[in-house]
Amino acid sequence: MEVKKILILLCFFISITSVLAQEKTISGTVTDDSGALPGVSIIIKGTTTGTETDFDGKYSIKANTDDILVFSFIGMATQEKTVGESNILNVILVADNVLEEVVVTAFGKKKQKRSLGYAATAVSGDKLTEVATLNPFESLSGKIAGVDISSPNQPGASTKIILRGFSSVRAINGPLYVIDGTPISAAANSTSSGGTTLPTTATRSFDGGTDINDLDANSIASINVLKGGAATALYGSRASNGAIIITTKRGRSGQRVKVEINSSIDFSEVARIPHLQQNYGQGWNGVDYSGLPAGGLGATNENGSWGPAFNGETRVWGQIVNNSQQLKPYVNLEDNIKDFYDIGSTYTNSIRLSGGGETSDFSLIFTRVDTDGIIPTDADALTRNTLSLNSGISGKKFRLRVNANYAQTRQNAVNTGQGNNAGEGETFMQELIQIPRGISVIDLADYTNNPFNNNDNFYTPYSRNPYWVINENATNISRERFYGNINFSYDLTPNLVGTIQIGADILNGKRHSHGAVVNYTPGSPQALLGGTTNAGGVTEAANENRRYESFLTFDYNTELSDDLGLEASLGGSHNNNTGSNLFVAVTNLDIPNFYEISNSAVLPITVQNNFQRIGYSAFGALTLSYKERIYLNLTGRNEWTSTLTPGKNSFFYPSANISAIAFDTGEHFLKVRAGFASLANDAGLYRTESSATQAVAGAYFGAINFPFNGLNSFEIGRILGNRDIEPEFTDEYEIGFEGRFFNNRITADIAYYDKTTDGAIIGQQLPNSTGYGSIFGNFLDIENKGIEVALGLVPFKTDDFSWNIDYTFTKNKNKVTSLPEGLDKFLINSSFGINFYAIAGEPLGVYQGRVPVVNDAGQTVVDPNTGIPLQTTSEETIGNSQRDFVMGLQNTFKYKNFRLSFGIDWKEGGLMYSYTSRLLGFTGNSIATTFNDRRTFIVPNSVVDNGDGTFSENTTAVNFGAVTGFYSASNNPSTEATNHVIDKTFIRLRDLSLSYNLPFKIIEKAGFTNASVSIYGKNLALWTPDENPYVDPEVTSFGGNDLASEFGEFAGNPAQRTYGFALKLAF
Amino acid sequence: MKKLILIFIGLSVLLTSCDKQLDINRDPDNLTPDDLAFEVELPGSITAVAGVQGANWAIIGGIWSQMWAQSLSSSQYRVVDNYTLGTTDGIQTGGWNAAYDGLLDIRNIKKKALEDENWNYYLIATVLETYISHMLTDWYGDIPYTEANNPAIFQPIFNTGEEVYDIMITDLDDALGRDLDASQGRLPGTDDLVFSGDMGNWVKFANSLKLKIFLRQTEARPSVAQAGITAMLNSGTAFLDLDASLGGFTDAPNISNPLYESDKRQLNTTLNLRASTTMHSYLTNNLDERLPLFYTVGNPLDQGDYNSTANPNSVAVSILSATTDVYFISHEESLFMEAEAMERYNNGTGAKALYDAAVNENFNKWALDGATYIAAAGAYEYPTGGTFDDKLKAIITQKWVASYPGNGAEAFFEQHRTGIPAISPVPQSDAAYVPGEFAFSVNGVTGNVFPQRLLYPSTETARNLNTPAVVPITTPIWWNQ
Repeated sequence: MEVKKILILLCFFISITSVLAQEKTISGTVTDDSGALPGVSIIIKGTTTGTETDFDGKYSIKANTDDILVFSFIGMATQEKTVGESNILNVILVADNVLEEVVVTAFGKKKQKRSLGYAATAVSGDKLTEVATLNPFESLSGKIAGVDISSPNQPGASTKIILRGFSSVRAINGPLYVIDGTPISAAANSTSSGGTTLPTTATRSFDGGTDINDLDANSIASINVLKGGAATALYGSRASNGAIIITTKRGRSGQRVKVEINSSIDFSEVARIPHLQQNYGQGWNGVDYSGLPAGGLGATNENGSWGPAFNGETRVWGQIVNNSQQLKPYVNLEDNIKDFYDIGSTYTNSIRLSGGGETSDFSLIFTRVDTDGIIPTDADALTRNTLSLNSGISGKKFRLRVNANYAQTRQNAVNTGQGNNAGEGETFMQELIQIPRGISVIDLADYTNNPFNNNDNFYTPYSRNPYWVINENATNISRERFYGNINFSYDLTPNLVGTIQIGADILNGKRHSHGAVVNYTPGSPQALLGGTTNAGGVTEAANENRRYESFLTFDYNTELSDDLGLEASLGGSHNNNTGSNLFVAVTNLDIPNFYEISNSAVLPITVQNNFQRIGYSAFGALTLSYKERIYLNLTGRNEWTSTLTPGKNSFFYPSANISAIAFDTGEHFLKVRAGFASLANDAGLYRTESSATQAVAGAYFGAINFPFNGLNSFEIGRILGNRDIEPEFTDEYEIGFEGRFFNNRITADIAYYDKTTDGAIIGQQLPNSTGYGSIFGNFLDIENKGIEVALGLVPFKTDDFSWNIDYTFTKNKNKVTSLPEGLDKFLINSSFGINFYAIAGEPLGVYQGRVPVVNDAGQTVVDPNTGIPLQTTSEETIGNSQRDFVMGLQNTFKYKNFRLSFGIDWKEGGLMYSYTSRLLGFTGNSIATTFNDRRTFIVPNSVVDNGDGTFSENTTAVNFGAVTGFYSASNNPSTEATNHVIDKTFIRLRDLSLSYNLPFKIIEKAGFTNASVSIYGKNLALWTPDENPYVDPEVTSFGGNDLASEFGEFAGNPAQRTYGFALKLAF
Repeated sequence: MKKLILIFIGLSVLLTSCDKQLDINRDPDNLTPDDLAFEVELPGSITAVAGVQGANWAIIGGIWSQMWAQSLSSSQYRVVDNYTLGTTDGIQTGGWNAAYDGLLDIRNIKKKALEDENWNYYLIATVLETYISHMLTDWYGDIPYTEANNPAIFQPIFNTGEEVYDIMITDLDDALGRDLDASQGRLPGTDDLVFSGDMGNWVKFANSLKLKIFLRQTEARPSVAQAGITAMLNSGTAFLDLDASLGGFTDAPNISNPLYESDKRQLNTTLNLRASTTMHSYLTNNLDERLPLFYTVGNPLDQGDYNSTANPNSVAVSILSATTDVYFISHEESLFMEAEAMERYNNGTGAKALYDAAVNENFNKWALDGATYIAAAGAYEYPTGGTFDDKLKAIITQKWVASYPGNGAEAFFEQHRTGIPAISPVPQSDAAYVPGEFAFSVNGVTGNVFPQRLLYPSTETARNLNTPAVVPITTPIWWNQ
């Protein structure tokens, strides 16, 4: 309480020294978004008469009517108010935004934004918590030009952030996250069932989010997005894809202890589920009965909606159990899939204490998030506790700051993909969307008491009861994380400051995953029908990661003359990143419902992965300013890295940029800027040497592993080491301007960039006849050119009412300019015969596949026997995954204490692979399968090849039985290319919020300095083009930031729509 | 300023000493290729050969040699059964990849054995190299051979099929010509999962393999075949008198027979491979006791008739075991080859005995007695008095049956070389169908022309500019002209 006493004294002192006099006493309260603001300077314009607010934010001053009061406070926009009739004048100050703001750049250094020669966007912390989100970045989608942000589709899943396009095919396209000057891990916590490799398998995977999910949005004071190379030249190679600089909230020195409470509760429901056909029910090939286990007909056991049209008849369905069968009317149930989901909920509670003495400050925040998503049970539940401390003391010549964060996460992730019957079993989404139309999904929930719903008697042998899957299989992730730093700076001379910072990011994670055994009772329908059993399995994974990051800098600041200023920095840094991962998995569980590694007679699969990476750097920066109008910035950095061969492991890269204020009249402001930056990057770990690994013999779907027959064996690894890897260099040119006109009524920030990456380090895929899979080297050249526009408009602004429009537009053009010699395309990912390539002269991520044969006249050539389109023997281009543009529109209305805001995103163009489309076509659930009312048809505009170069009209209809097969890739293989690679365009009402600041007069009596309530919604509406009735294009099956995950979705979990209520209190 | 200079001196000292600290870029969890001793690298090399031959190629070979038809209630192998197997289908591209993956280590052993003059491992590696390369070239025609698996060559050239055949013989002769008694260094032991270090058996394996390579050329290059085989017969060459096989499988994931592991354990249904009318009818017709050991009770499915509307439960399913050996060259296969060689080039001397022993050997493998079948008037009696074609038909037909379940590929190649079993002129649904004759797949898309080869994987074509143009699946391999 010592601090509080000092504060009270201080404020008392301030209040007795305030000026007294004049005709009329004006009084009021000055607040900001977090409450009463003490120490605000109030001056009558044109005089030296003034006062300051007390610690409750109150002031009084004598003034004449029509005098202008000027309210100013550091970091806040100055406001002028004219004294009118009223003696009360309450003022809300807002953070000083747009152009005069201070931008935090490398190593926590603050720079006036006007001095920057590159694009940087700042977002204040309150924008992040306007709508409660687990991940602080998901609410930024559409709000920052040049940034493509995809939202997570379940609690704790990944938020993908790509700045200025993909510049690599490696998994390094994400930005560097820096918290109070120390970079932290943003690694993905997603994986395939196979272990530690890239999590992009279609078989079984989950999206466990990234380490960024450990950040508490409530602890963030501001975020600066540094998009260009110049911005990141000082952070080194890890920031080659941009940097997100986060500054955490600090206490205010000289402020009494303030308590802020933010609470929110929100409810979510399933958003996009596939739009399905509503006319045909269970069956196959138009017939509704399949086989009885004994061979006769009678049981309806199909997993598809290829039966006859609904006719309302009451009929039996499913298996015959104890001589009885279930009855139901043969009618459609429009929402049978949607009904599966329940209402999710998220409770976020945060308490912050902050304050400070004369020479100290602190801010301590505890936040707890409890969320359980829309999937029944707690299979998608997450709990996170975070504690963040930011505190500092200062002396005459020194400043010491400590930033410490602890995060504890308990998360359940839902698996996606096709499932793995030889291991941990099916995934629920795969099973759910195969359920025929007209079958009541929620009635399948009870599989313990209702004999028709258990595994033995489930209506089909081709899929599993989704309730069983979601209840009996699980993936649990837990994580303890500590990160923070200590920063000490010392004024060596008045102009020279030395700073040393030591940071750490320590993470301990665990993952447990299991799938239940399925065996059928002998003689039960599934046993007789040969239903697929599950071997059952358990995975235990533990990972530990430690990053230490230290730097030492010297900053020199002087005026060379009246007009010429100089700022210079020199420094060095050291980082050391070590990790150890251990993954153990067994299958073929012996004892049911016992999920331990010991519960299997088979040999566990163990993957061990330890690593260490060390880097050093030395860097310098110089800023020359002329009359505070023209700024010249120069930087240079040399890095040494452990991931390149000694002798080739040192590299230097410079940047230069210039910023010139064309005019600054107060009312109008225009700055132009231009810059060049060179960026370099090292290789990934362990690419310089070949390895030998424990031998595994491939055997199609199986393998022969070691130990085998009492022996162990090793084989030469698939990656050929390359001691000749050089650093990859990117040159980026950027020009832009920032303008502010008519007193901020119109603002614009426009940038054009041209980024060329020369010798990007990729794994060149080697022909398998070499015996190797790939070699890493400088094999790829890529360019990204783009334009970023951020416009702000204030159409209306009065004291009571304002309307702000913020618009962003981003277009990035990406092109692969060269590939490894001798290679005409480079495979990034593939599934179901669709390949995803980098091709010279094309944008990254070209889809190719075997398409229907089309003759020169554009007619589809079909098989004369079946009427089904022939498939080309070679792969043809289908399109690419790159977006045409991304735009965002944010509208904010303020009326007195009300604030209404909503944001719309539009992401245009680009393709994606949709496994959901594939499965729904196969099962006859998709709308597309109702073409021609499922009668036989002749493929429109089709011909048959006469074999002599001529074609004649096709008269063969796709026969009735084959109508089912027409939508299945087994019978009509080119459907993969035509129907499963779809446009991922969408327009989304991203969020809407309405908040109300309770009048100070009211809350004052309750002892509060600030109180606000808000209601909000997220992901309220989604529009997709006709060819995508299937999924929200932003759902991801994999997570992560790499290009391979752009390939598409594999029965990904659906996105959620959220409605919430938040309360913020301060006292 | 002084302080600053001092600090910078300190910093630069730190940085100059950092090169040593930075030399840490070797994966601590792995060995390096130089660490691999023969006994460490050999077991994985052998399982690599067994994995690709025993799974990818066993399934394609088994369907194309008409042991099995794709199930009517699933779709896993439809592309195989309807002859649309293309350049991207995993079952064949995976085979190509796994074969060369295994060859990388096999050739590494061979290279080091040559340097060390360890002729034992040199012979073992050469036999493994030749064995898997022979299958590769029979599936694909021209393949990378002389430049394959060389870390300095990223785009190996393709040797023509004839070249590969000639080099394989040269390589085998080279390894057989080394003095095993003068071999330096380690003697193979338990790491030799095939013969436990018995080098005499490896010599026999090499000889049987040579015989197999020569026999394949009887139609395309009869003089080469004749000269090679005659030379072997004249010098009293010893052929396999036991199985060259990989055993030691356990009924547990990842250590069981690869065909069982892949088709039964890892796939989402164990019912994919159904009895094909072709082999099923042949066995039924001959009251062969192996029938119930090959297939479950039920009706066979006509080859390729996966759209049949029959009740799936009424159709017989393949029986596979998790612990069956993978046979590289079985004892009976070697005997059948010797019988054919005798008939062709040694006036049939001892051919009947060899044939009888071979048939019996296969019955014995199923714990049955084949004596009554080969006895006079038995179903499989050797046609001693018949024409050469009659004898060849007996030998190749029995070799086909004996190839169940894992060696269908060999039966498929031999059918193309010899035309045995014969091609049925009518569909299997026709009353005139003769049991055991190959039938064109009901859903085949190649216009009554049987598949002849696998297509180069698109991954090879895309990454290696030396890859020859992909030819249709119906284009014969050179020895089948």
